Amino acid sequence: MKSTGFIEVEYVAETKVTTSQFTVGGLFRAVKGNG
Amino acid sequence: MDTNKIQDAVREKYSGVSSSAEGRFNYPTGKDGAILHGYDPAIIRSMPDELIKSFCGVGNPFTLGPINEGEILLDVGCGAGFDLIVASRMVGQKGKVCGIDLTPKMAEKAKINMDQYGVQNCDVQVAGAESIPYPENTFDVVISNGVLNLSPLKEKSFREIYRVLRPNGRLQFADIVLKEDCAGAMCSTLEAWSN
Repeated sequence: MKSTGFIEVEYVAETKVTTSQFTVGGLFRAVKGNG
Repeated sequence: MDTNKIQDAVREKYSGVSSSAEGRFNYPTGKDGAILHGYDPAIIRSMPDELIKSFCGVGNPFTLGPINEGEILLDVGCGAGFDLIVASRMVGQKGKVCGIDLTPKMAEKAKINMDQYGVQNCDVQVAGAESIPYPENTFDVVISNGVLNLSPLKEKSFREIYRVLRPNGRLQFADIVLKEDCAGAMCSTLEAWSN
């Protein structure tokens, strides 16, 4: 995601779901920045 | 894998979800899912059953930061409009909420639901995250819930979200995370992509 220009990219937390053997829900946040 | 085939599989799956998500996912959906993710019970109670039974989000993007009155928000993969309605209450009459969805049946349902719920400051269009039909620097915030994982062109999708966000605009989303590398065959089927 950073390669697209976003700053302050953050993986915040898992959610309360498990979607498969390999995957869970996750919460993400990013900011465009002012440049 | 062919991008068009992946998107066709996603459209087929979510055309069905537009009627109901029940039994189509291996995690809680509908009202149970919304409660699990901590959505405001008062909002959940206020929504028609027809709307909430299509909810299949994997988290709650609104926990990631405030959505302020007067802001313009885009929901990438708005589904039947659940998160759009939640957002419309936050931005108020001075703000606006917009949604895009790859599946025409979902977008049509979202339009009907927004109308029935009395949300006037909204716009819903059929589109994928890879080609967002709004000008650059349009939105204060972009949200998404369990959708970007479905895109076969993720970097292009993030570039599009970046383009339509205003300077200092925020992206807040819930999505599926790989805990570990999955076996090639399991991750390269149309079913894996659309699920």
